[in-house]
Formats: sequence, C-alpha cells, structure tokens
Amino acid sequence: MIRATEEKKYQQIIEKLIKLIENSTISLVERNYEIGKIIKSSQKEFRGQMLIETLSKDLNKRYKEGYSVASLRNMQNFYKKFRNYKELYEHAKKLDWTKNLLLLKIGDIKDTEYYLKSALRQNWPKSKLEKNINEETFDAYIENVESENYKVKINNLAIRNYKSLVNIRLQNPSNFLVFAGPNSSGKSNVFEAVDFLIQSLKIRGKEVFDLFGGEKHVINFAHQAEGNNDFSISVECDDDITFSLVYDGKMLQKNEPVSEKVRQRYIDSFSRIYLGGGKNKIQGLHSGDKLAFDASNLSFILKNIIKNDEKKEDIIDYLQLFVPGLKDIDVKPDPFSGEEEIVLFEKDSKRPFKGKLISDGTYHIIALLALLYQSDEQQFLCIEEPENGLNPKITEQFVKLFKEICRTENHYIWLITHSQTLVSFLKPSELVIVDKINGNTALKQFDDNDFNEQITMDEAWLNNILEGGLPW
Amino acid sequence: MVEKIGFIYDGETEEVIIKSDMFGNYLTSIGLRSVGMFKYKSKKLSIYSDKLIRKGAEKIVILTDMEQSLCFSEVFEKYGEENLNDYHKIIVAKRMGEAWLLADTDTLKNILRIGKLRAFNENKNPESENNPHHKINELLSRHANRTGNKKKAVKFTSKPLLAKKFLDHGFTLQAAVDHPKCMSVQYFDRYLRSLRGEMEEKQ
Repeated sequence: MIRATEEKKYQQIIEKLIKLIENSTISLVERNYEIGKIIKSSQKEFRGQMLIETLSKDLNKRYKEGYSVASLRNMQNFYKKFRNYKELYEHAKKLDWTKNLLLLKIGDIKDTEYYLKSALRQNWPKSKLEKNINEETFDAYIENVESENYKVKINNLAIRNYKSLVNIRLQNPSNFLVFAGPNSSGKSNVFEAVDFLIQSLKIRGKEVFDLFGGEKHVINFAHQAEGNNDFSISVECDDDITFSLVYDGKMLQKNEPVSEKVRQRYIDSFSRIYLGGGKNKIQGLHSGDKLAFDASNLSFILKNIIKNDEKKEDIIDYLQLFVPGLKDIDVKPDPFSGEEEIVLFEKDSKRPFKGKLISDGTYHIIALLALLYQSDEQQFLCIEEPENGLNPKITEQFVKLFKEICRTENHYIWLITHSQTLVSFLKPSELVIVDKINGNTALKQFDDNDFNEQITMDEAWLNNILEGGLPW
Repeated sequence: MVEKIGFIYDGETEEVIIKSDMFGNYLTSIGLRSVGMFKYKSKKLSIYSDKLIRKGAEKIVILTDMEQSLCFSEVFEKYGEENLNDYHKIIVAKRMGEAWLLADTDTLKNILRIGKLRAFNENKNPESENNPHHKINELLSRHANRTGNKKKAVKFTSKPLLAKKFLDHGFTLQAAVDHPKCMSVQYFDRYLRSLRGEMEEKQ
C-alpha cells in the first residue's frame, strides 16, 4: 500500500501513465517501454509499498483491462532489457508487442538480437518465433556462421547520399568485380563508402567522420544544399548477416551481425589499396598485419609472409615469371637506417636491388602478391587501378589469379580500372559500368547472358555497346 | 634442307616453352634455328608469315590446340585457307603444351617431390586426358593438400607459371618425345628432324 506521505508523488506517476496511455501518437511498444521506464525509475522511492500492484488496480479500474500485475512487470522488464541497447530497441519497436513478450523469455542479449532481427527480416509469425526460441535455433545458427569454413556471401550493397553516390545498389555482386568508367565518375567513392562502413565498425561514435574529412565532406553536397544531413551504407549478406550504418544528421546508427566473431572476421578481411600514389585519396585506418592503403608497410607485411617457406616459394615463382632475371626476394634491415627494406636478387647481378632502386612496377607486383598472401582467411579486397605500372601480360595473369582465388577461396576482390587489357578478360557479370549523370554516380551491372562469346567485354565497353562508362 | 624456321603459336603454355632456352637448345641440337616466334591472335596470318619470311624463315610451323574446335577443318578455318601456302605446316593437338608437360615424367615427379625410382602411373596417356592442365593441377592440388598450402593449387592454374615451373625443374622436349604415348610431340619432333633430312616425315 502506498503510504500517505507518498500519495502526492504516486498521483503524479498515475497522471504521467494516463497521459502516456492516452497518447495516440506513439505505438503500443513505445508506450509500454515508457510505462516500464516510469515504473522502474519509481521502484526505489516506493520500495515495500507494492507499487506495481497498486498501479495495476488503479489503471484497470480506469481502463477495465490490460494492466494486470504481470503486464506491468513485463513492461518494466521490457524497458530493463532494451534500455542499454538503443539500436536494438529501434528494431524492437517494429515488432508486435506480443512477439516482444516472447523475447522477454530470452536471457542473453545476443540471442535476443538474433531472434528479434530474424523475426523482423523474415517476417516470422508469432508461432514461428516461439518455436524457434524453444528450439534454440540461435545455437545452430551461431555454430554455422562461426565455423572455420563459413564464407560470407554478399547479396546487396546499397549506398545513399554518400558523396556522389545518391542512390546506388549492387545486387548479387560477383566475388570478382571490376568497376570501369570515366575519370571522376565516382568509382573510388564506392570503395571509400565501404571503407567508411568498416571503419565505423572499428570506432565508437562519430569519430569515424574525422578519418574521412568530416561530416560535410562525406554527405552528398546537393543533398546538404537542400538542408539534409542523412546518408546510409549497407552491406547485406547471406544468413541475415548485415553491416550497415544510417546517419540521421545526429546519430550514427550501426547494424552489425549478432556474432562478434563474424563481425570481427569481416572487419579483419577488408583491405583497400591504391598503388598509384594519387593525391586526395582518403582512407581509413588499417591494422598492422594488413597492407596499408598505399602499401607503405609492404616490407613489414612481406617479411611476415615469407617467414613461411611455402608462401615464399609461391611469391618467388610468381616474381620469376613476372620479372625476368629475378632470382630471390628477402626483407632485410638497411645497414644505415636500420629500416626494413625489400631486397631483390637477380640471376645476372651480384649486387642486390633494394629500397628505391626497385622499379615502381616491380613494387606494385610485390604489393599485389602480398595482398593475396597476407591472410589465409576469406578476404575482401578493394584495389584501385591494380594495372598501374604493370606489363599487360602481367595484368592478364593477375586477373586470372584474382578470378581463381575468388572461386576457390571465396574472396571478394573488387577492382577499379582504366585498363582495356584487364576488361578484356572479364565476363559480363564481373563488370560494373560507372557513369556520372547530373552529378550523381550511376552503376550498371550485366548478366552473363547479355552478350554472346563473339564479343569481348573491352570491345563492348569501348564501342559503347554497354552504353556507358566512357567520357564521351 | 631447311635451316631457318619460324613459329606461330596460340597458347600460353606453348609461348613459354617455345621462347625458352630449352627449346632454343633443342632446335640447335637438330640443326635448326628459329628466326622468330609470334603469338597468333586474330585473322591476320599473312602479317605474321610475311614478317617471318622477311626474317629468312624457310618454313613456318603453326602450333595450335584443338581447344573448342570440333574438327580439323575448323582449325584450318581459323587461319583462313587462302592464307596458307607451302611455307606453312600446321601441327594440331588436342591440348598440346600441357600434354607435353604431362608427358615428361621425371620433371613431373621432381615437381611433386616423388622419388625418381618410385612407380608413377598418373601420366600414362597424356594426350587422352580431356584437359591435361587440369590433370596436372589435380596432381599438384593433392600434393598441396598434403603440405596444407591452399594457394599452391591456385598458383598453377596460371598456364605460363606452370610451364615455367616445369622448365625450371628440368622439362625437356626430348623427355616428352620419349613418352610412349605423346603422339603430338613425337610428330612435331619427327617433322622438325625431317626438315634437316634426319628422318622421313611420317603422318
């Protein structure tokens, strides 16, 4: 029973609840969350006074039903469950209250997240949600996606209002995918947006903006001119694995997979590389064991790779084919500076080549090989203009190698190119044509059945059969 | 008697073999000299032939795979019958270069790190393999699986790399000729020797 001294405060609570209950602008789930919040925050003051029981009696007297002690306890538990998981609560708001009640039975928040998101995405009826919770399908799901052999498969990439990418979508992108188009058509922005998404998963809050030149730099200019500040990037994969971010001008809301292992694997798998030494390229942070955006840490990465004899043999095999006369490769400290540098040994020369004496093209070849050998896990590599400094024959071999490695190891290798040679070895589904139309980047995908074998993709591209991807 | 010879080829494996020191040494050993070797890309055989003839070629050997072709006439069509004359000799095999590699048992054993004296029956019929390149890759994959190097199998899907690996491990045309069931290389060898009058060309 409420003590007489607390009666006034109690009446204030009742009034707040009535106001909430009679507010028709919020959903049932939101209303119940707010009721739960009020009850929870009042519990301390009314300890030992049977607050919930009294509220139940008074509310049911006014509204006839719906406010049993059990119901009010559920609302309080619902608030307690989601109060520290705002992003998850946003999802819960989209689910019926009766389904949310089923989620209350689940103890672990990760389990809750899985059932909540799966129920939403797959539109599970209440019976199916209940069945899956009872059968603990989450455990089997986790076992599958966390298994060593599990490979992420991207189904959809969607970007809105990121730089020139006002509204682009790639559906079922091929593991090996090449973007071709005129200069400044926005090809790099696609890679940068994916990089932004990955970096946002590594960094808390909004600090990721600082890495990419600030909020104003990232959001589409025309969109900003119209007074908007929102943008979104999302990568949807098989098995309900989604990485996405939505920025509403204030909050950066991230959506990550329930499995921390999958999340970490995906973050670790990503490398974005540009070997052209170009200006004004913005890149995210890279972890120490992966090749940096400009390959500035190549000697360190290569040193790790060639510690493994088999990998070293592979790298030498490629190099001996690609660089005539080359015999061996090593990484050694410079005797003066102590800095580790790549050392190349030639068959016909007693003096090795090292540091700046190594040609740009050879350096690029080594960097591309290091990229492929830096990890034994599934990788997502975004490489800008890999053909820079390469003989066309080597470009051809790299295309074939990339394709094969994508096929056998399920890597995602996405390239940006201006190379006719490179495009000539593609299947239609491996090419994305990029154009800028009225200031907005537009992407065009193709189906393998779109062209017959009589024409190669470079011919189709340069003869305008693809109807795009050319400066005029 | 012919001494100077030109080559036109169209495969990646053939390219590495023909351009190798091993092949040059082989030609020298039978008294022939290559004046040039071109990769055939499109229907411009006369451009390649004229250049080889200007360089002194007395005979032009065209090496080509059957690949997707169903019959020999399709292969001849590829070069345009009107472009072919007495200078040209076309040598066709189902999968030439890779079958030749597969036929060199000792080099194959060397690459697979199998002892020279150990029995090896995986290359009994190199030319009856539907795809000798796949066969070699399969052998290398099995070997790579033993060593746990997943990328090794990927590496050798590159035909030039595979051919170079064979050359580095001792591949010789003579070793392929010595295989009892690699007819195309035997025919190629017989034909080249016949140009020097060493033996009669037999079809």
